[in-house]
Amino acid sequence: MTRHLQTDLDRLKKEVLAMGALVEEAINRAIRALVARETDLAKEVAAGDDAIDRKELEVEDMCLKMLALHQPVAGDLRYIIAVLKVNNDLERMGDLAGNIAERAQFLSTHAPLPVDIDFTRMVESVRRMVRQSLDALVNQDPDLARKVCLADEEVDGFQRHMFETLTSLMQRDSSTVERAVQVLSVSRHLERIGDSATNIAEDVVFMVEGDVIRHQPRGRLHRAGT
Amino acid sequence: MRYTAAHSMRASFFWRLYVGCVALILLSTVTLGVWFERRARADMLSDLDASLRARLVLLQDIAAGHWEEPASPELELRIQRLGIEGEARLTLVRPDGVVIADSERDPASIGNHRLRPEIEAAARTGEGSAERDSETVGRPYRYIARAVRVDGELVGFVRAAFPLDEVDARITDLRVSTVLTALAAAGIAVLVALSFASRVSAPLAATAALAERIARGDYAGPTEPVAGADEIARLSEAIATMNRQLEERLETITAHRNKVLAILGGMVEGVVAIDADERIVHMNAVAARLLGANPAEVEGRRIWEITRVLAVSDLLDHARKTGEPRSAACTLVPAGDAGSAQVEIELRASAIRDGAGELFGAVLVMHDVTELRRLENVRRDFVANVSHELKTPLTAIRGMVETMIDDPEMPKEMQSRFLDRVRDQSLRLSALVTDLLSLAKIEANEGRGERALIDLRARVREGVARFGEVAARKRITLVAELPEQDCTVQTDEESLRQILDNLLDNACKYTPEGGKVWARILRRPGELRFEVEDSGIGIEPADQARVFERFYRVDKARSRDLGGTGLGLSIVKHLASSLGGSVSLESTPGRGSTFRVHFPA
Repeated sequence: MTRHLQTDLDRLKKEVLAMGALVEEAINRAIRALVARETDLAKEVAAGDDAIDRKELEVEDMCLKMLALHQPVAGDLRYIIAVLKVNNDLERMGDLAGNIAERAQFLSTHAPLPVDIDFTRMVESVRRMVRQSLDALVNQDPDLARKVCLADEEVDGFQRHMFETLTSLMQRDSSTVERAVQVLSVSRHLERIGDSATNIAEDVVFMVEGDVIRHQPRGRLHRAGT
Repeated sequence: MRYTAAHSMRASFFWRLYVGCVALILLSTVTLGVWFERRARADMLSDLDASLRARLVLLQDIAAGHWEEPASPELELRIQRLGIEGEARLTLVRPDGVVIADSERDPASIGNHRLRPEIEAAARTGEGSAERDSETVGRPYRYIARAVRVDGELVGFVRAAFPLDEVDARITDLRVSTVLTALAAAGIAVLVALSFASRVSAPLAATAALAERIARGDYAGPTEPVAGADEIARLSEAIATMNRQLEERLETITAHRNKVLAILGGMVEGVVAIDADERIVHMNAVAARLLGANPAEVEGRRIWEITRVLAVSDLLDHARKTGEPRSAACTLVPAGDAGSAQVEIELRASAIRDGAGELFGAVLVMHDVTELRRLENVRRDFVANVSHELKTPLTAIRGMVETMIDDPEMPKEMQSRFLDRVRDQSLRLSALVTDLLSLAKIEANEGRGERALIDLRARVREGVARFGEVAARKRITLVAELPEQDCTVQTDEESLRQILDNLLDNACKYTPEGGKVWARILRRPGELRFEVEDSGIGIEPADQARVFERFYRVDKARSRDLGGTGLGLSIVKHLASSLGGSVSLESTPGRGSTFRVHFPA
């Protein structure tokens, strides 16, 4: 019985990581499509969302079956519940990557905005958060997970800065409004991907330590993290 | 843990041997002691009996003729003396049990002795003996009594007795000395046994320590076998031999493994091998770098924990399960880099089978094809560009000529305008073909041009003079900054001229009116550098690496307007390398560019 549970847990881990891999790849591709203005790549991302959705159902199904079949307790139960939540977050990240890809498709067929919009640093932060949150999940590393939670503020800062830049641009030059709104929505999606990564990181902490660190002031988190 | 276990084992063997020896020694000592004491006592008693009997004979003689009357004082005296001198109690008893004389007591105070066991036995058989507490004296005695018969008629009994406690005291004395001697002997024997046990167990312990060291994997230490020809020495010799062979075999295996690792590590391709359980058996440094993993940490972990590149784990999984090789391509974005620095990878996974042909795992080879893809693109672009570049002027010429044929009534000045354009286009075509030919020629003759010692300063001065007019037309200040010293290089004059012309031409083209162009020669350690700096439009960083590619134009429309073929810089680069030098570029968009040609000094 226990051995079956262990095998199933291993399989679940593999599947949720595969899901993570799909999502990470989708995000990377969407970002590349955005930065390099590649329309084809953007279309691929949108098409790949189906695979992510299917994987989500698969993982969820596995989790529910395991809950019903093995009736796990303590650590195993926390693990499965955390995977359920991570799964959900990953699916949302996949959707957001699809949205970014759609915006990228639009933007690559229009002239670039006249102001210097540099996504590089924001994109880098978000990608790092996604990568680290999944690494934390793989290695069951609550310290890394806490780092991800702290990085969220940085991304929020980028998003605020982007908002201010674009608002002032739109006020100056109304011809840019359509494109600027798209760019703004890209930055908002990026920020939301960061939020989802933070959720995953929080689930990892819950999974490993059984501590709920959601809805806590970041200061406490910082202390716990250091 | 292992050490203490081994230690206690060794101790237990030693102690078992030692305790066994000691027990044996004690058992034999005690047995011997007890037997000796018994024997000594028996001997002593029989000696005693003999001496008592001798006294009885004497006593019989003395008593002869005195049996009937009551004891005379002199008889008593004699008996007393005899008793004292003979260290024995002597008694004369009449057949009815009345004591006539006794060496230690007054006979009157002594009760009837007829029922004493020794007297009774003597009455029956002629002699009797007994060991018992004397009722008269109250001490344990050994008695021997004999019936005295005269002419077959019982006249009395003689009895001699010796106090047993004296015998016991002597035996105790004897026992003390026996025990002391035995203890001394046992002590010596125990010491001897100690040295014996340790002599037997020490080589065994040494052998065990050697075996333990080998078991720990330390083959390198000294392996001196225990000297001797006994079983332990043979065992130790065998272990030492085994150790040497193990060491040799291990060295062979290590050398083999290092060779394999060196080969894998030296490969340009990334290699990842997994076992049947999807755990990583080996990942070489290239693969680890491509997958962003730490090569020291990956061994034994699941492949899907290490990389989230689905192509990698899927391919390996497929090969592992089906045994069929499979290839794929994927694009990796190494961690820490933004979108630009992606790596194109070609993957090929095949199954690993063990000796029996059973699927055992899978191995994946990752080939970085980024550069290959780039070159492919360059070539594809080149072919496309050549056909495009050749077709554009041809189409224009054909169009204009056909218009003129279709319309013979064309006004004169329109005709001449058309013909002008036809000439321009054919000139461009010819320039293009010339450039293509010189490129082909450079590539064909790389490094085989006529070389001569040429003063670079003179050539630069000439070049600047040639472009004086062009620069003046655009009001560009063209400055030659040349050093005082001689700047001679071994080079091909025609190539040098082409390099100068192309660079100066570009500088004048891409510098707006009123700008400035510098042509410099700089002497640097190990090289002579010719550089052309302009205050022109500059080149974006992304384009800088590609401007030396054929037909690569930063701004296609502008370049063509300016009459460029898109081959100039490519020719410069090829010429410089055919002369053994190289080119480099430094540029800030909007501020200007500096093209440098490095000649080896």
